[in-house]
Formats: sequence, structure tokens, C-alpha cells
Amino acid sequence: MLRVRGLTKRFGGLLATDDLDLDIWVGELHALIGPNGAGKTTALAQIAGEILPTAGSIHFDGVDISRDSAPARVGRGLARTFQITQLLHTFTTEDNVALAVQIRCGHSFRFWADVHRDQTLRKPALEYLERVGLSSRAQALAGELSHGEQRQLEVAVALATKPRLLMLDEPLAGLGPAEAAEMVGLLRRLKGQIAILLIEHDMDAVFGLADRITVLTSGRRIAIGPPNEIQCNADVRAAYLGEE
Amino acid sequence: MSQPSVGGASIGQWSAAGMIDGRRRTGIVAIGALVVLIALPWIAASSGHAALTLLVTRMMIYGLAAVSLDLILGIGGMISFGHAAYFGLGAYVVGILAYHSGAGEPMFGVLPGSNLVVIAWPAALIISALVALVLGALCLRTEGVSFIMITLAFAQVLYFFFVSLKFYGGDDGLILRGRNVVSEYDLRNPILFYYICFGLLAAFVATCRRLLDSRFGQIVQGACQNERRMAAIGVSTYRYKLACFTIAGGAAGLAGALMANYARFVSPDLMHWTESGQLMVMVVLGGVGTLFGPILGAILVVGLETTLTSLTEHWKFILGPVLVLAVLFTRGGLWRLLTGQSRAFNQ
Repeated sequence: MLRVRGLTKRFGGLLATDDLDLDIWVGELHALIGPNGAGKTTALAQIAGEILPTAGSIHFDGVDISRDSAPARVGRGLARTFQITQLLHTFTTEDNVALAVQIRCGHSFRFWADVHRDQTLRKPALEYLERVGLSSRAQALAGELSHGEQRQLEVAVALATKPRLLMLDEPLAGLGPAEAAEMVGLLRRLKGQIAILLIEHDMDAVFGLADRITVLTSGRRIAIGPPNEIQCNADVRAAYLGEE
Repeated sequence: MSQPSVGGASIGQWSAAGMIDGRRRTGIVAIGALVVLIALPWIAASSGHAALTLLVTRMMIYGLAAVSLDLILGIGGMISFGHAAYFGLGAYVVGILAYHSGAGEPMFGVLPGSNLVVIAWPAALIISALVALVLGALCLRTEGVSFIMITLAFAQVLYFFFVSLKFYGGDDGLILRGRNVVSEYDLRNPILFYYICFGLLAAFVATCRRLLDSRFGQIVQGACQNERRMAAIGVSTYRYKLACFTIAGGAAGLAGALMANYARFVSPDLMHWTESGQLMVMVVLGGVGTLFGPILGAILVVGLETTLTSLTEHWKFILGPVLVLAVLFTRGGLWRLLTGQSRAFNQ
């Protein structure tokens, strides 16, 4: 479904992504792991279209999307969440999701009707909030939500764009044990329905959820395979544990 | 101009419950202001201060221009430092049409002039909006400080264009022989003119309120807060911001048309950068992003100008400290102070 070939990004002297190949299959949960600074988020940003790669190609459903803008890629079914949450803080939780629904419904050159009374936006928005377990907070301002709730909202907003590939950038970061368990449960429910690219440092979650894992160090892929293979891989152990 | 108070991304958080209470207070204050403005010509006439009607007319015209600036600056996060260009342009459209109507010679030998409201005012609105569309299309390719500077630069270009337009008075400006006419009524009657200005201002503010809750308004407000989020949900905000910029330009042009009628005089000074700055001062004083606030700001600035110029030529010497105090102590402008929506200094 997603095919990345030879993806390279150079920031001056720094090689953030080094000739990366990555395939994501339909319905797969693919984890992208690696030590801090391995270039995971940079790779994701290139797939999402926020950063232009120095070289390489990105195909989605067989179409070359390497030159598409970020919004155009969302239109094709590629959504992402952010490591540092990017929400509209003065909008309510529900409005954040409704806006994503609205954009999916075509152009927004409608100047008169009140969106807060538009059931074609409200109903789906509430459904997405229900799915991530946030419906009780629908009328709270996004800026007032707890850190964990904001992460859930990020996922709801991404789902509202109806993605076929969802890219999650450290959805568990900074969550307490209970919140993390809730998020893992959510990912487990989503798994199989849509393809997911998961960047995460929580190894229990990664090895419990992923179908396949790609390991990056300094922008370069050092291993790919199912969790049990990765667990035994000598290169991976070396990268993580500094074993020689 | 205190940077953190400009632009929606920095709008502080207030609680949802506080917002509902704020809404009620907003309603009360707005209705109170509405009643006062409707009754004002009578109050003025019966108390023997007929000149007050004229003064408030002027306040409302600047109010309209300031609200239109707030639409892009406060709501859309586009800090334009050249908004007076559209204000002046609207005034010149009325002035030039009236000039040709009076002189009886058509413009460029083909276009006849007009002193009819139904022709001159829509013309002012449309031409200002079109110029805003073209300049906005260029300016919106930049952001941040570059946007501020490029809007300022284009406004100054227009200013010098009209300064060099000797045929229409250049530097000295253009005097209108009379106000525009609506069929047989001419707008010389100050009370009629007052109510027309009032009606247009009220209609524009109501339209803007409506706009905020529309699909279009949601995109513009979202773009103001977080462009990255907007891209991630699949919308490129450029054309929405441009549409917003165009609407604001048109409204400023209409305010300019009113100003030309009010003063019966147009000059390049109307589009000078100090005028743009003054509109910004009104917006900041009244409350960025509140739509009603800039009207308060306009009332205060025009009021101070009128009362203080009789004391000293350097009235801005007093306006400056007032602005500083307002920014420091009203926590988001006079309107937020009045309606109890002051944002906390927690950000």
C-alpha cells in the first residue's frame, strides 16, 4: 500500500534519513523504532509531505505522491498524529473533530450556515469521539483537556479524515499507565481496520501490537521483520543496548 | 504593538463555563450599545449638542474600518499593516466618480461619473475588494514579519500613486461638491447619514458574527491558530485566507466611501501608513479578535482625538500611554474587560 524507496534527507552535513526503504501492507500495523535521533519523526514527516526529501520516492496505492502537498496526501488517505500535540486550543473537542469532517466533505466556501447546528458534521464528530473514548469531553475546550485526552483527540481528528494509512508519532509518550493502557486498547481495536505506521518507544506496546517492525539507527534501516525476529536480532540489540 | 497579544495562536485559555457567562454579558453590553447608538441623534438634539451626532458618525465610520481589520488581524491572524490602503481607495472611488459627475466629463472619455449612492458605494466596495484580492494573493505568500512589511509596502505604493495623481489633486486631495444622493434625498441631512452609517456598521458586524460560525469561518480561525494542524487534516488554507482578506478589503473600502461623504474631501492621507497604524491601535485597544471591541477602540481614539486636539496638537502624546495602559491592564482589550472575558496572564 505504501512503498518508500531510497528516501534520503540531508540537513546540511547531517544525514537524517539514509536511503530508507519501507513497505507497509494493507491492514498491517507496522512499527518504526530506533534510539532517539534515529530519524523516525523526520521519515514520517517526509511521508506525510511536510518535509521534502532530498532523494527517493514515495508511492501510495501505486501512485507517486512524492511531490504532492501535505493536504493533498491527506485527501488520498494518509493521516498522521503529532508527537507534540497540534490542536486548536480555543475550539471545543468536538469542533476539532468536526472541522476535519468538514474538510473531508468538500470545499468550505459556505459563509452562512452555523456549523454547530450542522448534523452532517456533529454526528460523525461525536462518533469519532466515541471511538477514542472522549465523548464525555465533547464540549470541553481542547486546551483544557489533560495530556492523555489530547493524545486521544489527536487520534480522533486523524480518524475523521478517513485515512487508509494512519501514522502515529509516539501516541503513548507522557501517558500514565491507565491512559497508556487505554491508548493501546484503542490501537488494538483499530488494528486490521486500517494500516498503521506506529512510532513508539514503549517496547511492550510495540512488541504486543506490531505485525512487523522496522528498526532505524542514524536514519538507516538496520532490521525489518516480525517482532520475534527483531527481538533476537543481534544488530538491534547492539544499537539499543550498546552490546558489541 | 505588543507582539504576544496579536494573533489568535496566543489567545489565552478561559474556561468553558466562563465563556457561557461571557456570552451573556456580551449580549447585554452589545444590546446596551445598540440602544444608545439608536437613540443618540435624539439625545444629541434634545440636549443641544447636535454636533455629537456628527462626531459619533465619524466614530462609526472608523469603527467599520477597524472591524474589517479585526476580521483579518484578530480572526484570521493576518497582521496587515496596510489596511488604510483599502479605506483610502474606497474614498477615492467615491471622490473620483463625484468629480466626473460634477465636471460632466467622463473618465478616460468613456466612463461617466456618478454621485448616486447605489453606484458609487458598491463601486467603492468592489474596487477595494478586487485590489485586496490581487494584493492579498501576493502578500499571503509570505507570513509573519514579511507579511506585515509587504502589506505596508503595497499600501505605501498606493499612497504615493495618489500623491502623484495630479489630475485628482495629488497631495492636496479632492473636494467633493456635496454628498452622494439616494434618488432625491441627498445625504446632507446629518441624521439620515448617521443612521445609514449605523445600519451599515451593524449589518457588517452581524455578518461577521455569522461568518465566524460558518464552515468558512471555522477554517479561517483554525488557520489562525495552527497551520500545521490544518495541513494535517487536509486543507490548504491559502484561498480561504485570501477570501477573508478580500472581504475585509471590501468592507474597508465601504468605510472609505462613507468617510469621503462625511468629510466631503478625500486625500492620500487617508491611506498613509499612520492611518493603518491608527486602525491597528483601535483594534488593539478595543480587543483583538472580538469584532465588537474595535468599535469601542474607534470611539475612544476618535473621541480622544477630538477632545485633545482642542488642547494640544500633540494629542498622540496622550494616546500612546492610554494604549500602553490598555494593553497592560485590560488583558485583551476594552471589550474583554467589559464583558468579563479577560484572559489570564498564564501563557
